[in-house]
Parts: sequence; C-alpha cells; structure tokens
Amino acid sequence: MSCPRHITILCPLLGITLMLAAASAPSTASACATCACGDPTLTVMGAQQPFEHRLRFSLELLHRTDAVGEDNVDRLELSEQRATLGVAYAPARWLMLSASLPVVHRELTFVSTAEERFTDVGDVELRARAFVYADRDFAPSHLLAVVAGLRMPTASLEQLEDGSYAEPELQAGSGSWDPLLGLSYAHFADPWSFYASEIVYLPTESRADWQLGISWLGTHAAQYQLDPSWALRLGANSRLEQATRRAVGTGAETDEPDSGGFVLFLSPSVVFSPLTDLVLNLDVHVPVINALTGDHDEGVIIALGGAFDA
Amino acid sequence: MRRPARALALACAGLLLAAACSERTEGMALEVGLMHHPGDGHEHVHYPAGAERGIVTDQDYGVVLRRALLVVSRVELQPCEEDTARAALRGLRELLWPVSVAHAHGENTPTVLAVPNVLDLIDEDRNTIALARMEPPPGEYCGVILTAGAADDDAVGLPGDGSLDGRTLLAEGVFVAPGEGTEQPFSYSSELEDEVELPFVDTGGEPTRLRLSADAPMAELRLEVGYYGMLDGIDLAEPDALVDSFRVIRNLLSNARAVVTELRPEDAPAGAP
Repeated sequence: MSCPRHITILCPLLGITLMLAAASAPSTASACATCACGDPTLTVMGAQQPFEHRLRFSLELLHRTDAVGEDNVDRLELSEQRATLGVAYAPARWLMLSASLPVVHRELTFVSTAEERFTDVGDVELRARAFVYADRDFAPSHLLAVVAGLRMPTASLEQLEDGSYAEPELQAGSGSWDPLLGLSYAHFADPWSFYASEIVYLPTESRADWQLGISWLGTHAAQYQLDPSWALRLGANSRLEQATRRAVGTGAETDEPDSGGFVLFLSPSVVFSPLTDLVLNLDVHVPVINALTGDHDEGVIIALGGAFDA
Repeated sequence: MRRPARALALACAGLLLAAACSERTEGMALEVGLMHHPGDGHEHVHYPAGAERGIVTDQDYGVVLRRALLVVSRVELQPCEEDTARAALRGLRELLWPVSVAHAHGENTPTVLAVPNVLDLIDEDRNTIALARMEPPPGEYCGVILTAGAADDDAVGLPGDGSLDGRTLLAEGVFVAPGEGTEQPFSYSSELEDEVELPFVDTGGEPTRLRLSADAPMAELRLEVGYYGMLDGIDLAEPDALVDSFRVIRNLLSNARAVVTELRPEDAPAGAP
C-alpha cells in the first residue's frame, strides 16, 4: 500500500508515540523484580534473571545504516529505523518465553538517485530460554540457558511490477521460517555482571527465490553498576553469516555477491533505572571489524531501549 | 495486570498504525527498446510481420530468409569516462577470449541488462519492443556494449518448439547462386557469443552523448539491428557451419546502432514516472 508523503511521516511518528506512551504507562504492580530475583543488577531485555511469573515488556528504538554495492555502479544505501515491542514471561522459574514484534521504517537510496521509503511490520520472533544450570536457587551468580526459537515470515515482501520479488536487502523480513538455537550464560557478581549469548539462525527457503545464509550472532558484554540506578556496559557483538543464495530451487543457484561475511561491533551502553522496575538503556554499536563479503559497509547503530517489569 | 495489558494493546495498535506505508521518488531512468530494419540504404523497405525477406548478398547470392532469430543477451551502458581498472579488465578479457561460448545470464544491474531477449527478424520491421528500464547513476554515457549470446530458459520471446534453446542464432531459408536458377536450403545456428561496442547516435545518426542529471533524468535508448547485410562475406554454396554462423552473428551486430533521445516526463511510457 502506498500513501502520501505526509502520511508516510505521520504513520511511524504516531505509532512510535503510542508505543512510547504504552511503554511509560504506569502500572499498579508493586512487585520489585530485582527483589524477586534476589539480585540488584540492572538487566536489559534478554539478560534478565528468571523468577516464576516474571512478566516484562520492552520497547527498543533502533537506527542503523547500511550500504551494499559498488559506488557509481550498483550502490544501494539504506537508513533504517526499527521499533521493536517485546514481551517476556516466565511460566516457571526455569523457563522464560518471549516474543518480539518489530515495525521497520526503511529509506533506500539507489545509485540512480531514486528513493524508496516504506514502513511495515517486520518478522515476529518467538524464543524460549530454558535455564539448565543455576548455582543456587535464590540470587544465582551463574546462569546457563539453552535458547530455541523461531523467526516467522510476518513481514510482507516487496514485489516488482513484473511480479518478481525485490532484492533481499530491500525487504523488511526474510520471507522464511527461520529456527534459531543457542546458549546464553550470565554471571552476576555485584557490582559486576557478565553476559554472553551465542545464537545460530538456520534460515529455510523463503517464499521468494532466495535463502538467507546460516548466521551466528554473538553477544558478549560486561557491565559495571555505578549505583542502584546507573550502570555502564561494554559489549562486543559479532555476526558471522553465509552468503544469501539466489535462484534457489531453479538449478542455477548463485551466491548474492555482497552478502555474508563477518562483522564485529564494539558496543558501549549506559543503563539507567529512573523508576522501580523500569530499565532504560542507550547503546551505540560501532563496527570495528568489517570483513563482510564484497562491497558491504554497515554503519554505526544507535539503540534506545526500555524494559518494564509488570 | 490490567494496565500492562492495556498498555500492550495500545502499543500493538500503535505498531499497526505505523505499518504498511510506502512511497517512491524516481531517479535517473533509461527506457531500452530493441528493433530491427533492413539496414542503411534500404530505408524505403518495410516488411510486415511474418513476411519472408528477400536479400541479395555482397557475393550476389539471392536469398529468401524464412526464419531468423538472434538472442540479445546483454546490454551494458558505457560511461564516457570509464574507470581505468574496468577498462583494463575488459581489454584483457577481449584479448584472451575474442570468441566465447555463451553462458547462463547474470543479474540485471543499474547499468546492465542481462536477461536475454529474442529478436525475431521476420517480425514487423521498425517495431520497437521494450526490453527494460535501466536506472543508472547520473552522468555522461557514450555508448553501449551489445552482446549476442545463448538463450537460457528465462529468455524473453523464446520459441516454444525448443529450436533456439541454448543458442544465440537461428537463420533458415533458401538461396540461389549467381547465374543459377536452383534454390538450395541453408540453415545457420550457433551458441557462440559475440559483442560490439556501439557509440550513441541521435535520431539523425550523428554522434551524441547521453547525459542523465536531475534536470534531464529520463531518456530512451533504441537498439536498431540492420539485417540486410547479415549474410555478407559468406559463400553460401561452400558452407562452413561454425565459421559462417559466427559470421552471421558478427554481421548483425556490426549493422546495429544505439539511438538515444531525451524524454520529457509526458513522453515517458506508461508506468514510468
């Protein structure tokens, strides 16, 4: 669906405003999440300690840039803003279930100077985190979890006038059912905490004619808590992925030339808790090693997140 | 739990409101078309679709052309100031592989059309068929490299009888040798690939440049293939299938030209900005 320019701008603004309103809506819940888990560490979404019936909402606003292709030949520049609403619930002490729903706004600038802007729902992702080891029941300092999940093709795929699908890098989603598996480890030693997660996505064939490559996402972070409300965090986030395959199933499969490879981001963050059970984080992800295949340059990522324990 | 649930519902509503909007602003665009005609010196001739072509070759063979298909496999736009490394690579490639066997087609890029199109020379003369729209970067372009190569399964206009599958050329008909009255059949087919560099000309045939900029973002490129001389240099009575077939391809490419015209927005084809 296309819409006039002012609607294009207003839609995401209105949506994001409503989401911010939702995220900051006061709750009657009086439980203190850090009290319930016995550890005062401020945890960002995904790194929280489990306790039975823990319910956490989150919102992340993210901005990133990306560019693929050769200058003055086939360069494509991308500016993306992504708002991801998340919810996590622990039905049992050892299990945390979560879901995330992204809305993606993308601005693409082609080498011809043509521009495309679109806003759409991205791929919904479901995860289950089973805590398989904790060194003690209350306020554990070592937590090991197995992660399994599924990225679902909820994003619509852009099609061209001839009915074919636009390039994978132009899409808001993968178009495929993508299982994921991984491990996470957290160590809490107030005022220090450490978190590591290794997740592997195993994309299946998309409903278009491509298949994303297997990718391995690594998250490694150390956090120092300055006081009950403030913490500093330094992370190293990596992505190692195979090239995207094109023309899958046609017998003439090829690798997408500017896809796959390795990239490492250095990620300093500030974590702040202005209210009980509300944790905000501001992250900057700076690409420090770019070994992506072909002509592919990822830019700095800025993310503002909030997590609220209900 | 009630307020968080309400907040979640509110947030979801916000997400849905934010979704499913798109718009596009066009940039540079080059509409590429392909047509054939008898060739220079035969401007007065115009055959309708399906009509056999009568040709007299430079060796005085009288020819009736009954079927002639050429696969245009690639069109590459050439900037006036070509990158030195790119030009060196192309020169090296031409030196090492002056004649190559065609291969599966690649991807279209902003300056390359790589989907093969079949040009049926027995179709109506001077009937331009739209190949595609290129969306190149702004700049000055001086010509194109036009390649004839084998048709793959995705070739546009491929005959359903399989006669052109994997081939670049198919030409059939009959000829009469000079001073003789007996018709003899001939048939040429080839899977070889050949290319030609065509400098741009205007509609009057004068050399020109294609300038794409914010002030003039749209243009039309018409590739014209002249077929009257396609059997020149060939001794039809002494056939050498491989050499003669390649000669036909080269003749057709040599008699091609690339005509560019600037388009005003109101002249653009349907669907263009």
